[in-house]
Amino acid sequence: MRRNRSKEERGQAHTLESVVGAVLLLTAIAFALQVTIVTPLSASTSSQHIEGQQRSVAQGVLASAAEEGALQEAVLYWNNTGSSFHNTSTRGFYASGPPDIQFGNMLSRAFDEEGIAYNVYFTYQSSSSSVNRRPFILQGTPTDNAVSTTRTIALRNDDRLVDKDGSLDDTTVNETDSFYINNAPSGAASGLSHGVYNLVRIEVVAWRI
Amino acid sequence: MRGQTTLDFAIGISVFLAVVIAIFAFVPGILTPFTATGQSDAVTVDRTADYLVQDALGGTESPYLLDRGCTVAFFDRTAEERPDDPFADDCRYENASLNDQLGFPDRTTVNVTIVGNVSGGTQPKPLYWDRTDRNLTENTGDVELAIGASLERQKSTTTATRVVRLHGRDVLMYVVVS
Repeated sequence: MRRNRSKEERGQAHTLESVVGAVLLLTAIAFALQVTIVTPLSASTSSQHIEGQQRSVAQGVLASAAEEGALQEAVLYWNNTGSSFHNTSTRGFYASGPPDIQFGNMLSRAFDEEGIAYNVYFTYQSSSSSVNRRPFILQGTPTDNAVSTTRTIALRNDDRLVDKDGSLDDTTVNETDSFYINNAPSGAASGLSHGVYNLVRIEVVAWRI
Repeated sequence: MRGQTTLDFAIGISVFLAVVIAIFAFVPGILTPFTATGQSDAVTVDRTADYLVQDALGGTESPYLLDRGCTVAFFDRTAEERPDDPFADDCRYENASLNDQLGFPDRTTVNVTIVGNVSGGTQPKPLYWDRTDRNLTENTGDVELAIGASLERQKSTTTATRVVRLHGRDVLMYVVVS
């Protein structure tokens, strides 16, 4: 009888051990899954590669746009009477898509079909020697994995504003007060002279959506 | 009583084995995103694309702006041949087979393709260079702006994308390695 009971207890111990062992292993798996959770947006080598490609594409767009003078055209695409970029009304920047100028079309060809969103900012020296950053195209708040590329161009005093249809206006940047970029303070501090009006840094921020 | 003990043990061991099998089935899936498959491909394909657009076809002083003559000569051959265009002698790349020019071992499959949208259609298409019209075209022309063996469907590939300026147009260049 006593021998039998001890047999019975031994059997119970086996079951309990295996159940405890299983619970331990399941807890370990649950913990492992918890610490290594991978979503489509988590950083990995492949997402780093994609970010690198987006940066290179943006660099290529800026380089070819600069070669064609399309960056100047975008910076000067200003409605002199409305004191805003053409067709932006009170918002002051393009939100639903790029404007129908060369730079806008290039951005659209490079990014829109790939499902990549982008913001474009113009940065320039203001009259008080501080730096202003004005949005040109705003499509939203960039994610943590956004990439940024810049290129700097010079505006000259005799550069003319661009009309809505892309043709050159008669007004030069130096003649009008309503142009958003002011003449950079001259003198030793700015280092600008010889007809240079201001320097503008064009920044493209791109991210996957 | 002895029979019952064996049954308990059987249940216990089967639960244990089921968990062990489940772990073996799960763990490789957990580690997949961190294993090193194709990691070096991402680096090499990126360097290759940079070399092409910033040095070989573009030039270091004008990155992303491709030289038309050198670019057409680069593509004007079959995969194993050297560029037969005499113009290629003045270009920045070596007169060699594609894998040698780009520094890939022979077993690596490399493909360089230029696509663009020159007709105003909706989708970018592979581009050709037309010698008589001296223009880029989407229709089959004299020189297909694509080189390298076509890639097998099943193999995993790594792609680098660049936007470059060629003959007054912004076009896309894809470099694919597998």
